[in-house]
Amino acid sequence: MKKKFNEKGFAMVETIVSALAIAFTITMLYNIIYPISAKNKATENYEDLDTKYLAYYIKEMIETDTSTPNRITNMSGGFQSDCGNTCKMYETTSYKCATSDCKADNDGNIMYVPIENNNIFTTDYHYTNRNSLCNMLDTSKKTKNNMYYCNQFVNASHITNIYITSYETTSVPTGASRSFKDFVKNSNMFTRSFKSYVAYLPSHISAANKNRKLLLIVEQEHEALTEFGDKYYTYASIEVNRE
Amino acid sequence: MKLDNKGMTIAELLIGFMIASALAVAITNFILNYSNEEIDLEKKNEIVDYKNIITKQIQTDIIKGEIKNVVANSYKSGSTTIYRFTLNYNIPLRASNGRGNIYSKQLEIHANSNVKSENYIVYDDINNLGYTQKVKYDLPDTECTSSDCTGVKFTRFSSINTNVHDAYNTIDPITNTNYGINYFSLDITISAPEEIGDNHILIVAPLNYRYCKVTDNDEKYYY
Repeated sequence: MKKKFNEKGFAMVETIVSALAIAFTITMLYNIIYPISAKNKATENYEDLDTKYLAYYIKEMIETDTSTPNRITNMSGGFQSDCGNTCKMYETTSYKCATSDCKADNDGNIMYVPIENNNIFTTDYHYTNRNSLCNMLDTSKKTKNNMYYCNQFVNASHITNIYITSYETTSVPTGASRSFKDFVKNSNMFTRSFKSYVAYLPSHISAANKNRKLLLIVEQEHEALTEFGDKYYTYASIEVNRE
Repeated sequence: MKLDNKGMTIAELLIGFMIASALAVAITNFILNYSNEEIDLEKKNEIVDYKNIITKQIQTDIIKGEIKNVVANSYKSGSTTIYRFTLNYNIPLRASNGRGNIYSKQLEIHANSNVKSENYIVYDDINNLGYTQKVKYDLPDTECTSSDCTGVKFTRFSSINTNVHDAYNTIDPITNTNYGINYFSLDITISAPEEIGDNHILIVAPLNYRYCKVTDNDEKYYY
């Protein structure tokens, strides 16, 4: 007997079609909501308060350091291409004061010029894992022995990495070929969680008073929250002002 | 009896109900799972908020007062262990109206693995008259009431780790030799039931670190 579609009531076909339509709608809603929820979950570890305070203390050690002109002030924030898995570094052009006494001009600015060797700019390579930044700080007995404070502090806080970069994360610094964000995104030297954090950072393009500002990023390691979990990392960033 | 062309057959009805039921079960499962996750997340957020409040209170004083050193002791009161830290500052702390001249504050951590209400923190605050008063910070109430609960049954302080017994500043300004540890660290583990897991209040601060900028011509010593 040939089956005819019924004119009255619901047939199986109508039921199936309705069920499919509802299932499709719910799937679409899930696909839209779930990534937002996942992204929100990832940002739990960003700008963590504990890590923010650690970044603040490191910032204080850098800003009160007395070695002038020191390598942190002179960083241009240039970035090199990948150098493999053995290093975490970035390249900066070395600068020196334009005047011998390194005093500010009438406008209040201290001018720097790149250091040249046979007409080629010299470069510095700075490791940015843990104590490398601390080892750039002063050890003069007239000061607070920032290097010593910094090294002890970094070890005690489980800080795994400290990065210093130009404050504007999407602009290309003088002497560099890429911006900081671009460099991190395309490099295989950094962990996925760090790359996610850098992608989340604002560009600071329109931030007021950007002069002589650097951005300090601190990565802190934490033990697993649950018995079978993994270690996780929290991040915080803070601006550093060097005169 | 003749077969009818009108209406539905039992087979259509059965299949239709089966599809509708399967869909209803799937949606209900999804909603229930999401609801449970939301409850866990809310409890976790309460603990994180608590952690942030305590951290902010202590760190603000450490920075403003330029902490000098910390003295610690612990003792038992019944089944509760009380950890007491006396934080001493170089610069006096004052109330928001400018009153007070406080060079020292106390932090107490009450920990009890069996009694829920015996887990709290007491920290000194400065009142409007310029005197210290004790402020109690209770842990969020996240008790696991289900019979399937294993492990931690309620939120409590499960461990307190500190370096305070070694934390003293003994840099010799003449030889620049350091004989001790120049930082204070305090790690308080907050354990919570089920999926919430552990959280930490982690305070690490340099001791006796003076926040002044020094110029090349300045001959001041800070010790």
